[in-house]
Amino acid sequence: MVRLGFFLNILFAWLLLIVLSYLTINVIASITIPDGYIFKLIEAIVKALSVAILLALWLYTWRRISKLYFEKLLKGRVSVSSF
Amino acid sequence: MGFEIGLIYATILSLASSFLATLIATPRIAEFNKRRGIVGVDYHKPGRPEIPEMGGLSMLIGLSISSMVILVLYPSSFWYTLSFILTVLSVGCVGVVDDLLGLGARVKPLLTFIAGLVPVLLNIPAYPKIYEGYLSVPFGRIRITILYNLLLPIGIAVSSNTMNMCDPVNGVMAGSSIIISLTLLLASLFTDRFYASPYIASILGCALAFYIYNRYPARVFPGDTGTLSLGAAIAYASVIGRLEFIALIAMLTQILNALFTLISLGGLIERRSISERPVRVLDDGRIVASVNPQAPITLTRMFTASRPMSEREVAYSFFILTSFSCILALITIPLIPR
Repeated sequence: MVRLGFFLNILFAWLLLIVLSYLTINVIASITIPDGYIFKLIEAIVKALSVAILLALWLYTWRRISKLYFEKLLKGRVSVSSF
Repeated sequence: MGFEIGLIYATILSLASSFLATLIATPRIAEFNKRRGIVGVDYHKPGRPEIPEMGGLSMLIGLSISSMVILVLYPSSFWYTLSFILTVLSVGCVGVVDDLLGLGARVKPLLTFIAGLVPVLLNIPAYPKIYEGYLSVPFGRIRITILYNLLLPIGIAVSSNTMNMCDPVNGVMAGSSIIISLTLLLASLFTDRFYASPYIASILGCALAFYIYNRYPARVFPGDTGTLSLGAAIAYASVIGRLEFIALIAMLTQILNALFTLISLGGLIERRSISERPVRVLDDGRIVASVNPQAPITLTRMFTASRPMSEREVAYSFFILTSFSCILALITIPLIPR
């Protein structure tokens, strides 16, 4: 009933989120700047921006991959050019 | 808080009270709304019948009654319960206004965000704190004490609006909520966060009861009142149980459907102002994808692109995909440290 492509789309989004989480814990969380209120603030901003960039990358990659295989899956019946 | 006997009673009775209250209230609210002309058109049926709208009010009643039951049986959960029901009711009010007056595409997410500030404000006087600002994700925990106060209302707004966008055919929203809340209930059990189970059980109860009336052929529609408040309830119950990441994965089908729609439309556009519908209905009642390139890309449109499908088949396709994302959510549990 449901074509394999839809499962792969969800699986791919899940895998990307796991990778994103791994990078956040092991790379971004380990960013440290010397003590001091202003440095801690900078550290928090850098970390928040890094996570935001990762999320944007997640969305971009998912969009590109979705466009690629939905074009094949739907064979022009539904245009995915807006992706 | 482990498996205390009060918690087990609270879980069972919250499920039962929520189910019964919604079961009793739904047909009465449907009848009341029908008499007052609060109806919506069922586009996917030949003849396009008018069905009572805003039936989601019954789920708000169910969730309110079950919250009272939780408070009586488990008084130490006062702040959790108060914040849970006030958040759901606040988002529900946004839904009521949207159903009756119609809100703009940008106003609705903004208002649900503001409603999501309720637990942030309640966390100030709460003792013990409702949340500590830790986010449990695979491979570790992130301490975001200040940022969490911003992420929480965003999460509630995203979850409620995502649910709102994923109710394309009869029963999909209620059915998907059953699958997601069942997954969260199992997750609370496996992760030793059983203290969130009464809230998750109350969502499960009202979704189960509402599904009886909303499944194909629907006798009542949830309206934005139902979809927004159930989405908020799921999001906030996962916050109480620190199951945010699990809930995110469980809701991937709904999130991806929302992303497909938003990307294809180029941003937030109110449903009523979209001129091209993503699907059309054949004379035999089957649904087929619109070939118009201006029509939004939704999961329903992609499901029906290969061949026309009955409304039931579309609903089951959503349930299968939601079940798949829920299985992935359960697989994720061992990756998240306790």
